[in-house]
Amino acid sequence: MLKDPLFHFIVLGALLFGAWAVLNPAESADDPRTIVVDREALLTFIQYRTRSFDESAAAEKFDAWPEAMLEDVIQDFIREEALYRSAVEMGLDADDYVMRQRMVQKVEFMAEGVAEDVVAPDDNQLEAWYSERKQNYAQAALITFAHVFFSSERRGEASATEEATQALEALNRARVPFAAAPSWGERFPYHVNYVDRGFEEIVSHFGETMAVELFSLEPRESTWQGPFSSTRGTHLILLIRSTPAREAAFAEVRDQVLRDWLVEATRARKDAFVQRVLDGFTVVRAPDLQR
Amino acid sequence: MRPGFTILIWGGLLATTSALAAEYSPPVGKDYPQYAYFGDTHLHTRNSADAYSLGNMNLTPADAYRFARGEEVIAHNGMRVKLRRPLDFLVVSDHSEYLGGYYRFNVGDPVVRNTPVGQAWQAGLEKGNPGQMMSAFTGSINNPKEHPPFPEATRRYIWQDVVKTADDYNQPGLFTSLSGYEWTSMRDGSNLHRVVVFKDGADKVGQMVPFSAQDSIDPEKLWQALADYEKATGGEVLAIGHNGNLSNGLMYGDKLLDGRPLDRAFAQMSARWEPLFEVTQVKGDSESHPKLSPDDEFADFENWDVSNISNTAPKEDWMLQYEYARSVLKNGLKHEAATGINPFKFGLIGSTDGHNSVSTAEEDNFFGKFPETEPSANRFTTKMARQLDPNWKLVASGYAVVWARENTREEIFAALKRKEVYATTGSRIQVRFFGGFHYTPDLIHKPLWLDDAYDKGVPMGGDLTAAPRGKAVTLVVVASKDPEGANLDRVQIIKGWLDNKGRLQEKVFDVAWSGGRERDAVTGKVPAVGSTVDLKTATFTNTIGAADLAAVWTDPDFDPKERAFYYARVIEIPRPRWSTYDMVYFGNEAPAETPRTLQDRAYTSPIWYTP
Repeated sequence: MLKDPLFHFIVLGALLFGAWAVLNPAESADDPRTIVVDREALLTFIQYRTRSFDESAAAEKFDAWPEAMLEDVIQDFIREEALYRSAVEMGLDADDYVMRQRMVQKVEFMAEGVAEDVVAPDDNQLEAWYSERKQNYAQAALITFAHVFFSSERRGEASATEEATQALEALNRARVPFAAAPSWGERFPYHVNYVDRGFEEIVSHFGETMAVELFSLEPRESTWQGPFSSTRGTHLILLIRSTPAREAAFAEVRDQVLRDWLVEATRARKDAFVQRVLDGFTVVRAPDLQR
Repeated sequence: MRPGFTILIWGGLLATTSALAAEYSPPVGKDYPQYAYFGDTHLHTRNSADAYSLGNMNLTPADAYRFARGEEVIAHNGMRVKLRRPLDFLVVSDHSEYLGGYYRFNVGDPVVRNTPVGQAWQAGLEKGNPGQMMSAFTGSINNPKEHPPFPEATRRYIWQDVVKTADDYNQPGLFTSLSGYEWTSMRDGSNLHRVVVFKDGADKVGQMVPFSAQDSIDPEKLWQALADYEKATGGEVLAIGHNGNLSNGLMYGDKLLDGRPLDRAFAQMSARWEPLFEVTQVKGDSESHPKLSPDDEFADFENWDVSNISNTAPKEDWMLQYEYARSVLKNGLKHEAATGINPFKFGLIGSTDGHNSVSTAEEDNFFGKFPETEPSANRFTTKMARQLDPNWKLVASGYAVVWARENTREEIFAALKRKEVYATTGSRIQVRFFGGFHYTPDLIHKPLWLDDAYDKGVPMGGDLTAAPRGKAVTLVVVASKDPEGANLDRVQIIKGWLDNKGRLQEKVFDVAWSGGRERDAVTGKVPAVGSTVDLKTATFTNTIGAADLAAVWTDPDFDPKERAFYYARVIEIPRPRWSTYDMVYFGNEAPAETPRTLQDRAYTSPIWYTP
């Protein structure tokens, strides 16, 4: 359907409100097989054709046209009107995606109006609802560490690693704590101390290889570990906390759960409305759907 | 300067001998911003009349938030679309003129249908006069008498729905949604648009209705409305201009709308309410123009310089200086010398101005402006809204980046207001920029450099004044590449100043660059970085350029008696332009004049020196 060039023509070529007028064609005789051409119908037609919606300009143009040109426009109008009406007679409007979409949107809007006035649940109901979807609120794995950095760009990778190895001893000898790490090493483009940070952020700062290493490393409160290689150089790490992914307590996420509940309740009511509409239809599944 | 820092630094040193002397959590006591948050302050949904009538029938503000925070959305062309990395914040800024009105009218919502405007639209349709509605949006700007706003109650009802949705998607610490709208002022087809951004939640923002071009096309009236909002609610709000490049000299000109010369009262209001300029977006990059900056080989970047926004009047050379950020910043110095206040003392951000509810600024993931320019084999050859600029010119740009302590409305708004923000053309370059008189060259090698940087100077968006005797402005710029993007070619510092003869001057300095290139002996410029782009496959490699560039640079021409500003421009190595990715995907050919590659970049907010 979306590849259909006619679809693109309608969406891009006609302004969308054009579809409206097609649904409500200009005044015509009751007989669907009689096409009445009048000035008003032609003015509307011209405006859509030129995609310029200014009735007085269209009228001005219209009045200035020589007879032959007017006749051409009339012929075009008759042709379009006749083809359109025969399309409706053949039921082809039912296949028109733009028209369908606009009609569907109108009913959906009604459904949303019905759905909007949901009543918020009490905390017991909400917690019960939460306990059925705990996995949606799982807290990501987080790590807390300080690092001391040696840039491989400044001195080459081998020398960075060598310097890091020496510094490792010094750091552990002096029992350098988390907060003192910034006094050591060199400037790193991002941070020195990372408190409860997630995997994605660590990947973007240190590269995936080192991020994987850090998330599987055992925390050691007062021992510097390493060296580790990142995309930028060599690092020594004081990993003091590594919290695996875990379930959240209800109280921690209550507000978010409530928001989600409201979204889902609204959707459920809308779905129910739509279902009532669907229930009014008998659906026949053709045998050719069988597999 | 900041006692808290001193204590912390000493605490940190003491901690080497006494582990308990310092805070356990290092950020405690560091009250400076440590995080760069990437966002978009300018995005439209089906609530905008132009977006809806050009095919954005389906995607709502809620969809825009969901997409920005990383969820998948179905675009209007049927394609699935998702961001590589979520945004940290988003402002849905739909046009305030008939906000939400076209959609609601179309679906038969009585809130709109039963208004005099809705009834006139309906009557027009029934009489076979669709123009009544079709021209209502532009008519509302050009001829509000004929196209009056909806009644106040209708505007309020729709607006409260908008701000409530913004509140629903605001998750402090994770994703920030700020309420906003676009005031779509134009005069004679020339752009005066501003995006309005609120700090506050629905309880405050919902008390007023968005100011529209029907209310007035005069920016001074808009600012008055913003002042009224703050006074009535105790909230905070600001405005951001965009597309100076399509204003035909009107947006940042020397004259007011009524023809009087720009005066002190205007300057005061402008400086108060418009701390920022959206320097890069889908309808062109407005940092610099080759005719204004003929010596700047990077100035010719995705410029739109043919006409005003409605394509009703051609561009003339005299207009350019009132449209592009660099020349407007320079003119601001001149106004300041004359009136005592700089009306154009703005910081720089980028944003998309997308109209299909999806904020896309990356070259290889660009979903255009209107649904007509979502990826397709023929999006090069159409024109924007069928009659404006050719669509191959659309720019996959940009982002607003803020330096903040945490991802909340309060922090992001405060950063916007103090201009500690920068623009990128769609890349996630990280850049710090500081100015002061006491920085030393070794600063950028210290892990604790930020403590010093904030302590001894000011960050981007800040002010320096009264240089100590014998001292010149020293700037510190520290840039890192987009972790998933292109390497960096170079970092530049751009200086604009008003010299002692009253002439405006500018100069671009290369201050850090990759790969041991030598400056040209005559021009002082660093030669081009080269290119690794393979056009046949739309790929590039990071085998040239650098991941990180930094410099401490002292202005060699500094004169303490001259007003000046400085900002940094960070330039990536060349990569395929969005149109080149399209050519490979669809197997088609962009028009010959379409650039095949580009160098994405970041522009920091300036630091001003005032004698």
